Amino acid sequence: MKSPVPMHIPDGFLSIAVAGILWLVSLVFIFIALKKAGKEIDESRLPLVGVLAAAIFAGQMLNFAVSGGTSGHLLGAALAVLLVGPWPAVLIMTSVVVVQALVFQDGGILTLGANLFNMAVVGVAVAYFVSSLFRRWFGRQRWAALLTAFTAGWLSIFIASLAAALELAFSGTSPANIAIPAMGGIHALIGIGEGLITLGAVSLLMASKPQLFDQTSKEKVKSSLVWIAGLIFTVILLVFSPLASSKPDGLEWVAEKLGFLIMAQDASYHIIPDYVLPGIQNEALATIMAGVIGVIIVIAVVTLLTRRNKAASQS
Amino acid sequence: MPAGAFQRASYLPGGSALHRCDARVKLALLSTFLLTIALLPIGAWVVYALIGGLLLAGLLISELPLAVLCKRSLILEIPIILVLLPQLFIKNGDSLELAIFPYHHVYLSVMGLERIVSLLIRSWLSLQGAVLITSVTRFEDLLAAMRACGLPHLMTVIFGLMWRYLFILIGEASRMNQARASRSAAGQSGAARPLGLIIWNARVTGGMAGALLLRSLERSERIHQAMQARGYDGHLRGSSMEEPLTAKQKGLTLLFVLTGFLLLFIAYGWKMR
Repeated sequence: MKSPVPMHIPDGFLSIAVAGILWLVSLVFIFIALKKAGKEIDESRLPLVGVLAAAIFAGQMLNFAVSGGTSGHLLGAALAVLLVGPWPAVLIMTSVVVVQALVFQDGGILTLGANLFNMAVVGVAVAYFVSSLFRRWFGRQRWAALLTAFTAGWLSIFIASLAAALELAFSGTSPANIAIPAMGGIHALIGIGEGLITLGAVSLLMASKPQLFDQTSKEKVKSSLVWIAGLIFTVILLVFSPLASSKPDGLEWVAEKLGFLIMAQDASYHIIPDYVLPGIQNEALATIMAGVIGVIIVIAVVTLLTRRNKAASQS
Repeated sequence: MPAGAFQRASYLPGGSALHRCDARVKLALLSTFLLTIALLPIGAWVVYALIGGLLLAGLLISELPLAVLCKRSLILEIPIILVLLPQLFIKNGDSLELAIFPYHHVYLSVMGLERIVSLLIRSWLSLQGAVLITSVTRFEDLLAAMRACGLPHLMTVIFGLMWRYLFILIGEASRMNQARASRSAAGQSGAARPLGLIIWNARVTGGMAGALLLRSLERSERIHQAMQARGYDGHLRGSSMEEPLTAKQKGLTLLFVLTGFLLLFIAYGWKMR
C-alpha cells in the first residue's frame, strides 16, 4: 500500500495559531453536524454511519497503479456525500480522519483540527456543493449522476489540497509560491484517480441498488449551510491561492500581522534568483515554472522510493 | 496512508506502569507533550535533547521492545517532507555557498537548514510520543477517556461501531485487492494504451469500492437488527470512567505540565542568550 497523497499534515508542520483556529472551526462544524445529524440519523441509521466510516477507511486501501509506481486511491468524502448526504458525511469523514491520526499516526494530533478541516469540512462541503449544483443543472439522468461523481471527487481533492497548502504557507513552513502550485498541481492529478474511483463505485451502486440514489427524503434537514460553505471554500480557495502564490510577500505580511508564523524572525520570502529560476523575469511564469519543477521533483522522488519498495518486496 | 502504516496500529499488550496508567492521565500527558513541543522555538537543540531523554525514559518504562517502537515512528510520509525543501533556497540571513558545479554556485540558506532540521526533529518527537501512547493504550480505553473529557455521546457510538468493524472491512478490502491481483489486473505498466489501461484499472477499483460499500450497507442493516434483538436502547455498555482521578494521578499530570513550562522557559532563555 503506497500513497502519494501528502494531505495529512504531521505535527510540527503548522504554527500553534493556525492549528488552534482550525481546531475551533472544525469543532464548530462537527458540533453542528452532530446536532443536525442527531435529527436526521434515527437510531436505525446509526450503525450505517459507523460501518460506512469503517468501509471508507478500508476503501482507502483499494488502489490502482497509475504509472511509474504512483497509484490512485480514494479519500472518500465525495462518495460519502453522494451516499448519505452532507451532515452524516461530515461525521463519517471525521471518524476516518480521527482514527487515522489517533491509531495510525497518519497526520498529527495538534494538526488534527487542520486535517479535519481539509478533509471532513472542506472536502465534504465542496463535494456537496458540486452534487447539488449539478442536480439543479442536469436533473437526475444516469450520465449526470456519473458526471457528478467524477467532478465532486476531483474538486473535493483539489480544493482540500489548496487549503492544506495555504495552511502550510500561513505557518511559514513552506513558501506560498512553491507550496500552492506544487500541492495544487499534484492533487489535480491525484484527484483524477479519486474521481474515477468515485465514478466506478457510483455506477456499480446505481446498477445494483438504484433506490439509494432515488430517495429525496434522505435529506430531511436543510443543508443550505453546507452548500454555502462549499461555494465559499471553492471560490475563496480558487481565487486566493493564485493570489497568495504570486504575492507571497503579501501573504507573509498578513501572517505576520496575525501572528501566524512559527517564529517571529523576519523571514522575507525572496527566492535566491540565480539559483532556482535563472533568467525568468516574469513573476507569473516563474511561479508556474516553480510549480512544474516541484511536481517533477515530487513525482521523481516518489517513483524512486516506490521502485525501491517494490524491488524489496519482490526479493 | 503511508506504506506500512497499518503496522503502527497494534496495541502491544504488557503489564508495565504505562499500560496500567489511567487512559485519561495518558491523554493529558500526551497533550502536554505535544503542546510543549509545538511551542518550542527553532534551534533549541538542548531542549530537544532533554525531551528526547524524557521520551526515551517513557519508552523504557513501557517495557516494550525499543526497536519495534522506533520502527513504527520511522514510517514517515515522504511527500509531505518535500514541502520543506524550498526553505533551503530562501534568502534570509547567512547563506552557505557550495561549489558543486564549476561555474554555478549553489546557495543554501543557513536559517532555512536550521528550520528544517528543527522541524523534522520536533515532528519526529511528536510522532514517537503518539506512537508510544497508542502502543500502550487500547483504543477502547482511549475512547472512554475521550468520552470522560467531553466527547459527545453520538460521536462515541460512531467511533465505537467503526472500531468494531474496521479490521473486518480492512480484511475484506485486502482480500479484494488479492483477488484482483490474482485475476492479473494489477498494473501492467508496459501496456500499449497506457491511458486506456489507467481508466480501466480505475473502473475496476471503483467497482471494488462500490462492492465494499454495498456489503457494508447490508452489514449495517444486519448489525442494527442484531442490536435491536439484544435490546439496544441508545446507550453503549462497556467500560465507563466514572470514578474520579486520585490525588496521585492529578499530581502526576500537574508535574508533567510544570515540566513542560520549565522546558519552554529553558528553551526561550537559551535562545535569548
